[in-house]
Amino acid sequence: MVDKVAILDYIGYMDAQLIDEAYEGLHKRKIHTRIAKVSLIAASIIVLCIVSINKFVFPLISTTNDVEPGSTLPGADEIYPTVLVDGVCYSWRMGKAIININTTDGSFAEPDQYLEDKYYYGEIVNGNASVPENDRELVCSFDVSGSIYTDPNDEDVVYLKISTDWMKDAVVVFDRVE
Amino acid sequence: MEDSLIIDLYIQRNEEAIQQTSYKYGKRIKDIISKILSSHETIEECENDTYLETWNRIPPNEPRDYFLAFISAIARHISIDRFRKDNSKGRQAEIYNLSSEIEEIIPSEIDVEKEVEGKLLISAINKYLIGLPKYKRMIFVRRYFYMDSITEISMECRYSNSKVKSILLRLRRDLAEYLSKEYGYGR
Repeated sequence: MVDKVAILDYIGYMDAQLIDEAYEGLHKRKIHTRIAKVSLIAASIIVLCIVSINKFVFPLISTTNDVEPGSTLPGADEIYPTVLVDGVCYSWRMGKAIININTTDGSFAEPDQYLEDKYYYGEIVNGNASVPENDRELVCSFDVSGSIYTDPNDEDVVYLKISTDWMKDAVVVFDRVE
Repeated sequence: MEDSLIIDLYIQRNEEAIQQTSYKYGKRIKDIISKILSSHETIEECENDTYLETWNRIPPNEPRDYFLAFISAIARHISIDRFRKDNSKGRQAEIYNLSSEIEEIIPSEIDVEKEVEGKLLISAINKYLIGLPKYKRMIFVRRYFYMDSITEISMECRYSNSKVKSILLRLRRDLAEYLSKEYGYGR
């Protein structure tokens, strides 16, 4: 009996580079669309931040130093922190992003207990562009070191364990940018 | 997790390798299998067989730079084998249709059921594809490796269905001519 699908089977021996390229081609187009969306969102966020800082933060600082830790984000009015994971952009969560901070004294709890059920993805690479172009690249206006973790049960968030010159071992939630 | 770290887990015989593969590429693997098979149960079985086969092949293989291509090829072979065994009715028409399209390229004296001839032919096809403009190469691979439908390809490339069909038709003709000229097939 003639094997009608033998040729289809042999196409499976196609060059790996060609197979990857065909998949990546589509994938990259999606990334570019996402990056365009991220740029638009980032621009909106910058405007929102400037307005918020002028209206709420400056009056608050001028009257008291008791600003809730984790609610402010240095440099957010320049570049909003965004990271690329598996070709998907995630941005620093609006609102309470740092999950291991003690809001009363500003100290950070042991980060590992928050990351026990998460998957280690890789180390953060500081990006120079205005949007991340490669996986693990984080763009923001301050230097960061640390690691990226994914959540096996939730593709819409990633967790970054980060240290900067103003905080150490903070666990920060980044939300998927649609 | 990056592919290279997943490969390390396979080499360390750490079963988390399978979880990570499934987490990162499970959907893609299922997509490939479901192009060939239709039953939900069989698709799941083939997906699991793909992970098992990947586990058995790494090591000695270390596909750090082409892990997705590596597992996609495994998923494809396993699904086609299963298609043969079950003589699956669900996707029969589409699969045979796809086979006939490729048969147009194949010179009549080639017996693809003979492993050596099949592999030589694919090596010649690879060489032809590398010389093509990228978009044509991608359309060919998406159609005949990933077995995407014309509509799926059209949507991805933002071309009309008829344009994709005509690109594929021309590619098949040119490829048949290339095989005939360069390799003396079809004379």
